[in-house]
Amino acid sequence: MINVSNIHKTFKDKDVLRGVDFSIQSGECVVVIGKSGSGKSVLLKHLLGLISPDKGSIEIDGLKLDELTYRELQRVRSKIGMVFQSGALFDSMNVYENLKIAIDRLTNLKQNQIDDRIEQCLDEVGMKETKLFMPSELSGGMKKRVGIARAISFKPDYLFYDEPTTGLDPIMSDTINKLIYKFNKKNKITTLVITHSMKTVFEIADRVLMLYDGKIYFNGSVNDIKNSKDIIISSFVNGKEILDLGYEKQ
Amino acid sequence: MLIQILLYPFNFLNKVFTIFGEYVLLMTKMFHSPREWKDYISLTFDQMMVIGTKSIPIVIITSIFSGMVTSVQSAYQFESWTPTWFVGSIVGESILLELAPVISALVLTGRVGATIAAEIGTMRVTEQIDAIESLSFNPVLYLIFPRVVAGMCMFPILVVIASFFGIFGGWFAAIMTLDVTTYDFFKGFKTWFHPFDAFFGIIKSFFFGFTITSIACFQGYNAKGGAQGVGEAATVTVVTSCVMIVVLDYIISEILI
Ligand SMILES: Nc1ncnc2c1ncn2[C@@H]1O[C@H](COP(=O)(O)OP(=O)(O)OP(=O)(O)O)[C@@H](O)[C@H]1O
Ligand SMILES: [Mg+2]
Repeated sequence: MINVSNIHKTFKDKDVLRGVDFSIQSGECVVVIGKSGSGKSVLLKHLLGLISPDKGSIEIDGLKLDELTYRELQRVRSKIGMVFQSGALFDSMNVYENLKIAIDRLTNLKQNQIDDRIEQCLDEVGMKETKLFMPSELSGGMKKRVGIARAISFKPDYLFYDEPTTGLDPIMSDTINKLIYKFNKKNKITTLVITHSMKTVFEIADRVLMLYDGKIYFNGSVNDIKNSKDIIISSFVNGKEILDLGYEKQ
Repeated sequence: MLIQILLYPFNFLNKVFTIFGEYVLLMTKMFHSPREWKDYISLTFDQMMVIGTKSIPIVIITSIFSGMVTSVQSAYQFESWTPTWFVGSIVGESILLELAPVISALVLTGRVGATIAAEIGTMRVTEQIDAIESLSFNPVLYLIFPRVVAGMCMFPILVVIASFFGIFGGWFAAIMTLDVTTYDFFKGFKTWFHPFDAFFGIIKSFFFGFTITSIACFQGYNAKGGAQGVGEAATVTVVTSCVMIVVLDYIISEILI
């Protein structure tokens, strides 16, 4: 269970987050939408303790991140698998080593079990053949899938995805949405997804949050957001500029 | 406008001290959890290979030529006033005390410092450092500790190599182009040689090793933006390190001699 209360964050003089509140129950799949630059990635990094808020607090499984020692924070992180926007594979290591380093660090598996686990995770994302490729030899979508494989490799309780489908072709996006759905429903991993894509929202979300102007502007079900009459929400959902919408209504 | 110009030095100093403070804070993070050091030892050996072993060729080339230049130029300065075996003494002392540690350090600023800054900077801007941290590694111990320790261990060794080849270069130039025999060259070399001189260069290089690697790690770690930020980190590393090397060179000499 994750509890975010009233977090504020300012970079230089830019107020990126201005009082964000929400919580995520165990097993839920929550999708955060919001336009580019609205602070979605920043919010996600707060949840991992990579950025600390200027004000407010974040609680994961009852532990307040800002009250933890570095070691305790590391223990919390070890329960979270993170898929970064750019994949963030270690480019000095091949695909196999990228997964191995995570499994080595966060589980107590033996070498042959590690190899099995790597096979299995790469198979899940359909990247088995690229085991010995370097990240520089992979396309953007392939990097993302390896990033997902790395994040699930140590069987985390939580999975956070930063724009898992941005920049992918529709078929690959669909594959990834299905993967996210599967890990959430079958493996019971509490999931937080950040995205621009309404398709992702409709396919996987239990609940949708919309980040707007540094706050959670909307918090509700997929149906609620689909049928919302609010101009800001519907302009995002329908992918139209607010002005266009106004024109259509007249 | 005028006020801005007048305030500029103060703002500049303010910025320098702020950055220096951040640098010190980052370096002290290495000592927060000494119990974890053992987890990062194997990375340190990898870095010793990258920083040390792979730098040997460039160190050998630069030191041979600086030895040769010293030999030829000191003979030229003395003209016929002094006996030629003085060349051996000049070459020996300047190589051991100054040229081997300082020229190696300046060369390694480019070879090692810029590489580290670009490497860590790229990892920063592509979220790899965040990824390291999210896998519950300590990024300071994972990235900075191995490089700084490797620098402090390998620079002294590189300087021993540089000293050896510098003197070799000086000797070679002396017997080939000047009328100095091998016997005379080493007679001169031994006349003013103190064992401490050799040690002195090694002490210097220890500090240079720390300075170059730590500045590079700091710059890379704090890189911002994209490719441009990485380039800037590398440039600032080279410039700052070069300045710090000559400043430190003076300070260490002042203290130890
Ligand atoms: N480390 C930082 N220092 C300064 N400003 C930052 C930093 N990180 C993010 N920002 C600023 O915070 C704002 C939000 O950034 P963020 O990356 O969270 O956007 P986003 O919602 O993820 O956008 P996108 O969908 O394009 O990824 C941006 O304006 C960015 O410039
Ligand atoms: Mg983002």
